[in-house]
Amino acid sequence: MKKINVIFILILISYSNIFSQESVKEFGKISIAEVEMSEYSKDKNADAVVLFDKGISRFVRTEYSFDVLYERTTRIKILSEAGVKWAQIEIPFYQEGEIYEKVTNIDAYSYNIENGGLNKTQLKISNTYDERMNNFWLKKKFAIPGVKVGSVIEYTYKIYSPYKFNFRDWEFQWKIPVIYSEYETQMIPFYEYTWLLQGANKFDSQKSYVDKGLSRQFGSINYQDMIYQYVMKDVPAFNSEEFISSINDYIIKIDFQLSKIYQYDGSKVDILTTWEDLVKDLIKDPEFGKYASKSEKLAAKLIDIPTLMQKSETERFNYVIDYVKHNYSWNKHLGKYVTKSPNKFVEEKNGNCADINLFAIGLLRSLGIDAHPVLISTRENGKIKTIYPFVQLFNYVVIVAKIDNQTWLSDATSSLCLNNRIPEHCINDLGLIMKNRKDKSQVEWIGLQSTIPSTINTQVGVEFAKDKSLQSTVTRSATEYDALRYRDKYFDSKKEIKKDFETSNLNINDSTIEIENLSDISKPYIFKYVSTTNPEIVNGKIYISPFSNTTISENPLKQNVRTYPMDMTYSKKRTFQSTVTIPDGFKIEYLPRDKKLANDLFELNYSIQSDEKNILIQFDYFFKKAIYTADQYSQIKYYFNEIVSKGTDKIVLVKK
Amino acid sequence: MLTKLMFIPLLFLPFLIRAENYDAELISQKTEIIVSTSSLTKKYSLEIKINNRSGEEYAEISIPFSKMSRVSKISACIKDANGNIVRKLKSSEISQRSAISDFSLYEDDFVKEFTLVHNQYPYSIVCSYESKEDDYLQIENWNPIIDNLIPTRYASLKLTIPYDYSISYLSRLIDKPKVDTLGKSITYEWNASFTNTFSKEKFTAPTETFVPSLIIVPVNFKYESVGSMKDWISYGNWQNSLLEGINVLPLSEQQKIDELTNGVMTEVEKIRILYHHLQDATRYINVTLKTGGLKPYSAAYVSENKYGDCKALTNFMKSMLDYVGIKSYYTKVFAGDPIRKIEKDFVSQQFNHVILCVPLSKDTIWLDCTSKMAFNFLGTFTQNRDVLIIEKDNSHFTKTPSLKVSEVLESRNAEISYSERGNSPIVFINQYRGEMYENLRSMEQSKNEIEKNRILRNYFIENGFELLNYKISLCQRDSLQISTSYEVNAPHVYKHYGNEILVSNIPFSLSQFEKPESRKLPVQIDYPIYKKDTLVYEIPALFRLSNIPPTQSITTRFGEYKIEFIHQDKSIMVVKSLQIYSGSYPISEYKAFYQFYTTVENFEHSTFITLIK
Repeated sequence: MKKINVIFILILISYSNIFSQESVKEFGKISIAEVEMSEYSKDKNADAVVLFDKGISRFVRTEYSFDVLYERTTRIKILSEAGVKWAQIEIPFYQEGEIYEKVTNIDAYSYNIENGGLNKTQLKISNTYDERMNNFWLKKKFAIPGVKVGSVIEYTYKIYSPYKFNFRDWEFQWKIPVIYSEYETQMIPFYEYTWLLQGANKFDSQKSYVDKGLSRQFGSINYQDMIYQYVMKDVPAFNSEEFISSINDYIIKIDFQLSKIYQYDGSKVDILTTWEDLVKDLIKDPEFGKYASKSEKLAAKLIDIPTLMQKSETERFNYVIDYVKHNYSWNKHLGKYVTKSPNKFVEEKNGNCADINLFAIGLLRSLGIDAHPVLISTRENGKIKTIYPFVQLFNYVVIVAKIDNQTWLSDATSSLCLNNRIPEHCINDLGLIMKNRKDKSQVEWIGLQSTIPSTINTQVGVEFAKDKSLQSTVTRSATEYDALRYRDKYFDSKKEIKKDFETSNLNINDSTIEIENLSDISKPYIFKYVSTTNPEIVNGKIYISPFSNTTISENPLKQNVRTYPMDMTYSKKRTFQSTVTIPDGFKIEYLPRDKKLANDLFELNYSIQSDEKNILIQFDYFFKKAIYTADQYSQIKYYFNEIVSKGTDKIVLVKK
Repeated sequence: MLTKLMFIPLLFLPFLIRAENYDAELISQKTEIIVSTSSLTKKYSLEIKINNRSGEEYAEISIPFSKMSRVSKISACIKDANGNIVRKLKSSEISQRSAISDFSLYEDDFVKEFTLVHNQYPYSIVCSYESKEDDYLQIENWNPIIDNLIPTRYASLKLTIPYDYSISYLSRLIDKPKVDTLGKSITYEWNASFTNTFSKEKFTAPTETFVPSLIIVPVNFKYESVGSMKDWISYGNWQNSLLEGINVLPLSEQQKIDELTNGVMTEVEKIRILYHHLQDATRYINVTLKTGGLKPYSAAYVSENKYGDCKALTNFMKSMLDYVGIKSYYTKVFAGDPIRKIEKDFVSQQFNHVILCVPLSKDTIWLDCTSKMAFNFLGTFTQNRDVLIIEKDNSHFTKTPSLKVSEVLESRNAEISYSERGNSPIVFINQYRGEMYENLRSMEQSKNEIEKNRILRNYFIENGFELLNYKISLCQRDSLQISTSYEVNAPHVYKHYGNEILVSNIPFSLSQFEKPESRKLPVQIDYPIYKKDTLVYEIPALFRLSNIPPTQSITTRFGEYKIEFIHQDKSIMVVKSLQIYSGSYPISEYKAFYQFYTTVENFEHSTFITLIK
C-alpha cells in the first residue's frame, strides 16, 4: 500500500521536464498556435485533443471544519465535426442530507480565428442547467457557445464538498488523446489519504513539497499545506473493445481514499488502513453486519425455526434462499450498504442487493448455518485490487455459506439462478469474505469464478417427410449459466424460441415446441421443436445441413487485433449429435471430413459414421478458459472460424 | 405460523409460473378534468393488477410533471387479491428526477417515481394524484394504456367545462362521449378498453394508431400569447405571433452575410451559401424551458451562441434569408419513422419538428436546418408528408417531396476471388443513396475512426464476412450519394464437395418480417427500397461452369426482383436487383406481400452456380 507521506521521498522530476509542451496551462492564456492547429501529430485520426486538464483538491476552512474544494480547468482542441460533442459539458455532483455539494465559478470560452483575429465567446451562466439524475445525484450541464471545427474550448469550475471520505477521482485518460494532465492534492495534517493508480505503472512526473505560502491555523495548530502533484503526458485515447469486463479495469486513473484522521488533540482515528480493519468495521456497521444480526432476531417471526432445525443443512439453506427469492424482489440497485431497516424491508418487500442478501444471511444464521456476506465489485464496476484496501471499489454483496463442509456462494436477488451460484454480473475475480477470524491478521478472499463449465447439448434427427420436405427434430439442453441465460431470455415463451431458430425457409410449428424443467432450476433447461425446411437441391443432388441451423453461423470475433484480454465470463462446452436418415433410393455422395483439435485453451472434435440407412455426426467443442489474453485472440478467432465451418458443413446425397 | 411453513419443493419456484395470460392488467383508469376560467385541474386514479413477478415491471409508477403542470396529492397502496389494503405508500418512497429526451441538453420536465411490490400474486396497485395547469395548448392527450402488451379493462374520462367554453377533440378506437348539461357546465364522458394487445412489428403505422386515444384541445387558448384553434389559419397566426420580432440579426452577422453573398447572382446560390454557412457555423443543441417547445430562441441568440434547436436554427436561417430579401416559410412537420398522418380536420399541435420552405419561381427548396447533409435534401426524416406552412393569415398545408426509387438506390459491385484455403478475398465498391447514405454520412460526421471501424465490422458489412480494410470516400457536401469501398475475407463462398464446387450467392441484406400467422398489424412502407448488385466471381483454373443458370424474375404489385448470369472469359457475372415499392397494405394482403418477400429471400439464399472439373 502506498501512503501519501511516503510519496514525499519519491523521486522529484525536474520542473522543466513537466512543462516541455509549448502551451501555457492557465485559464485564459490561449495561444494562436493552439487555435491554428489543425491536426494532432501523435494521433492523426483524433476528433479532438485535450491540450491540458488540471485539477486541484484542497481543504478550505468552514466554521467548524473543512470542506474539500475541487477546481478543474480543461482546454480542448476540436479537430473534426465528430469532436464538437466535447463542447457539451456535464459535471456530476451530490446533494443529500448533510452532504451538499455546490458547483460554482463556472467559466467557459470558445476561441476561433475570425477575420484574421482571435475571437472569443463566453458562456452565459444563465445557459447552465442542473439535471436531476436521482434523489442524490445531479449534473450541471452546459454547451459552450461558438464552437465549430477548429475551435479551442476552455472551461473551469469549482466544487465545494463537505465529503472527505474520498476525493474526486482523476482520469488521466479520455476517449480522446490528452497532451497534459495534472492532478494536485493539497493536504493538511488532519486527514491522510491513500491512493491507487490504475492502468499505468507510473506517472510522468510526481512531486511533493511544503506549500511556500503563509501557514494556516486550525484550533491551536499551525500548519502548512503539503502539496502532491501527479502528471501524465501524451496519454493516448482510450478505446473500448468488445468482450471486455469493464472499461474501469483499464482506463488510466487515480483514486483517493481517506485512511486516517488526526484530531487536533493529537489522537488519531484510523479510517481505513488494512483489509482486516475494513472487515472488522463493516461487521459492526449498522448498515452492514448489524443489519444481518437484526434480521437474525427477526427470523423467528418469519420462519418456523424449530421445525426447520430438524432438516438437513442443505434443506435449511435452500429453504431460506427460496423463501427470500420468493417473497422479496430486487429493485435492481447495487450497493454495499443496506437502504432500510429489516422491518421496513419486510414490509416493503423489495430492496437492493445488500438489503436482500444481508437479510438472507440473518435468516440462515438463525437456522445455525455458518453464513457471511461477501463484498464484491460487479463486472461493470471493475476488478478489485487485493493489495489496496479501497472500500469504494466494492459495490455489491453476495452470500457465502458452509454447507456440509462445502463452500457455497449465493445471491438471493436472482430467482432464476441456482441457489448455490451467483449471477453473471457478479463473476468478477475475487470477493472479500466479511467474517471475523480468530487470527485477526488475515482476511479471506474467495474466487468468484465458476469452475464447472456451462454446457449446451443439441440433438438433431433429420428425416425426409412424405412431402419431400426435410424435418428436423431438435432437442436442446443447457446447464449452469447457459441454462440461466435461456431461462432469462425465453423462460416460458415459445414465441421467443421460435424467433431465434426460425428462418425464412425454415419453419417451426408452434405445437411442436416443448419446454422442460422450466422452473425446476436444479435441472437442465430443455426445449424441443420440429422444424421443416425444403432441402437444397442443386443439379439433382441433395445438400443437407445436419445441424439444421442450430450451430453458430458466423464468427463473433470481428476485430483484426486485440489490446485487452477477452473475458467470456465462464467456460463453455457445446455438443451436437445429428442422425440423418437416408431416404430410400438415395446414397451418400459426399461426407464432411473428421476433425480433431486439442490444446490447453480449446478442444474440437468432429466425427462422422454412416451405413446405408443412417449418418451419425458427432460435433463438440470446448472453450476451456473464461478469460483469454490478448495474444491468444487470433488463435481463438481461428477456432471460431473452424466452429462455423464444421457446423455448417453439408452432406450430399444422390439418387442410387 | 403453519401457513408460512408450507414447504415449497426445493429449488422449485412456483411464483414464476404465469397463472394468467397477461403479466399485468390495467384494471381501471379514471380521469376527471375540470376546466375553469383560469386553470385546468385533473384527477387521475388507476388500478394495476400485477399477476406474477414478470409483471412487476408495471409496478413502477412514474408521474410526469413540470413547472407548467404541477402534481399533488399522490397516494397509493397495495391491495391483495381480496381487495384488502396490504400497505400504503409513504411519501419518503417517492423519488424525483429530470426527464430529458436523449436529443436535448436540458428540458424542465421531471417525473416522480415509486415502486410497490408484494409477495403474493395477484395483487393490485391503486394510485391517485392530481395535476394543475394554467397555460395549456391541450386539455388532454389521453392514452389509457400502460403498454401495448397489457390490456386495459376499463377506462373513463370525464370532462367538465363551462357552458360557454368550446373544445374540439379527436378520438381513435373510442366510442362517442355521453354529453350532459348541468347548470352552467357541460360534461363529457368517454369510455374505453383495450384488449387487442400486440408486440412491435416491422414496417407498420405508428403504435398509437392501434390503441385507443383521445386528444382534447381548447378552441381558444392562452399559451405564451392568446390564440385559437378554430381553423388552421388562426392556429398559424398564433404560431406566427411567436415568431414576430425574433428575426433581427446582429450587425456582425449582417456583415458576414453581405460578405458571403456579395456578387452572387442567383437566388438558389444565395440560399445554398447561407445554408452552408448555417451548417458550418452552428450546431444542434436543444434546451426547452416552459413554453419553449413552441417558441423559438431568437436569431440573435443563435448568432451569439452558434447553437439552437430546430426552431431556433430554422428561424435563424429564415432571418438570414429575410435579410437578403428571399421569402421563406417556417414549416411545421411530424418527423421521423414511421410517418404519422396529420389529421387535417382536427386543428391542433400535431407536429414535432420544424423545417424551412423556400418557394422559388420554378422550384421549392426545402431545408432541414438541423441537418449536416446535402442542401435541399429532406431525407427519410421528413420526406413525403403533410406539413403546415406558417404565414400570417395564410397558413396552409402542403406536402414535402417524396423519395423516388432512383433516390434510394443502394448498389454493390463485388469482385470475388477464389482461394484454395477457403477464405475468399472480396473487394466491394458500393454506392449508397437514401437511408444508407444518411447513416453513413452521419456516422462519418459523428464517430471517430475506431468507432467507425467497430460499427462497420459489426453491423454494416455482409453477415459472416471479416472486414480487412475500408474507405468511405468523402463526397461533395451537397452530393446525395456516398461511396464506400472495402475488402473482406469471406469464408466458404467456394465450397468443395468432392469434385464439385458450390458457389454461394452474396445475398441482399433484408430485414426479417413476421410470418403471416403471427403478424397482427397492417403494412406501411414509407419510401421504396431499391438494391442492385453486380457480382463477378472468379472461375478457378481447371474448373468450368457446369451450366449457365437461367435468368429469373418476379414482378408483383409489391415490388420486383431479377437475377441474371453472364458468362465471361474466366469469370461469371451475376446481376441482380430488388425493388420494394412504398405503400400501405391491410393485414388481409400481408400473406401475398410476405410470399413475394420470402420468394426473393429464398432466391437470394439459393445456390445457382456450380463448378466442375
